[in-house]
Amino acid sequence: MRRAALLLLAAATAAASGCYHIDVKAPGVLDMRSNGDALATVDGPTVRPRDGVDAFVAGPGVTTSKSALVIEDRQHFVLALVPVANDNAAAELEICTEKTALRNVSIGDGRATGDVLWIVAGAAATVVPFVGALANLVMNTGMAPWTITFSGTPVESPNGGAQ
Amino acid sequence: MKRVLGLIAVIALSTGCYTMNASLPGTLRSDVSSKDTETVGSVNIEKTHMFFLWGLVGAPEKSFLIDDLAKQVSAQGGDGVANLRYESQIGCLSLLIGQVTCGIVAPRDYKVTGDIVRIKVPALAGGQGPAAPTAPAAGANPTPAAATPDTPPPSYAY
Repeated sequence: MRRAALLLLAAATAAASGCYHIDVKAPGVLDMRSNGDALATVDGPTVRPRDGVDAFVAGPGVTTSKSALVIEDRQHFVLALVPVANDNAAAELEICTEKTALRNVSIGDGRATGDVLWIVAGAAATVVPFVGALANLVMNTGMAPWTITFSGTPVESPNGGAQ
Repeated sequence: MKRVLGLIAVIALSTGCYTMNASLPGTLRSDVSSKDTETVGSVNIEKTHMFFLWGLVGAPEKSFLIDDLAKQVSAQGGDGVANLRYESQIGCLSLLIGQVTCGIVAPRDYKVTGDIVRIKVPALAGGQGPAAPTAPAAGANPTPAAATPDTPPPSYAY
């Protein structure tokens, strides 16, 4: 009876919110009058990409070069429904558009290679008795991954972007 | 069977699944504040995309959102979009379809919302984006700052 109630609750939550719900708010204004291709490209913000375990858990974060700025932010969901520690890349987006305009902007999401590795690592952990099963439960049921991607080319902004 | 699973794992590791990478037209500007814009409407795009084989196959075109976005902004006589919000999820019906077909058909739902605005500051230098609004809808006021191929946008002193 209790199990049926839990399943019903999960189904109702899924119906109401959807699975792996990604919600990204782009900062600034999308100016569709010009594609900005006459503007000089500039260096993106100096942000150190995540590395090691941090990158494995939360994604690489911001990687920049003169021609491209890429944000890859890994989100995690309990039972694919409830986001945990999920700021939907808001902080990264804010930093990346603070001082420059962006052209060739792309936005998206999906299961990136890192997410697949996360899932495989969780499943592989099950070979270790007890602890492995627990690790798999935490990684693939309690923290199922999904990645937000955002990219663009930083170009000169008329007033440096400062408000 | 092991070969099939291995192949799926290799494809998933190399390309990912449910991969959406949609281009946005124009330029994303942080130097334009709310006082530099006038809201003329709202944009609301809701689309479902069909992936196949657990999301491994069927990534959408990069222009997935461009046409709809340009059409809606143009129809309401705007220059761009403020408060742009991109949402995606596996909704109730998509989840059901995915479960019934055992993931062979794996839909995902996308939604883009925002405020369509007329921008009062000059356009940035550059050509029109592929989906930039070309003409305002009947009854809408023309946009003085809008760049057209015949009238290049004013240049800025940086």
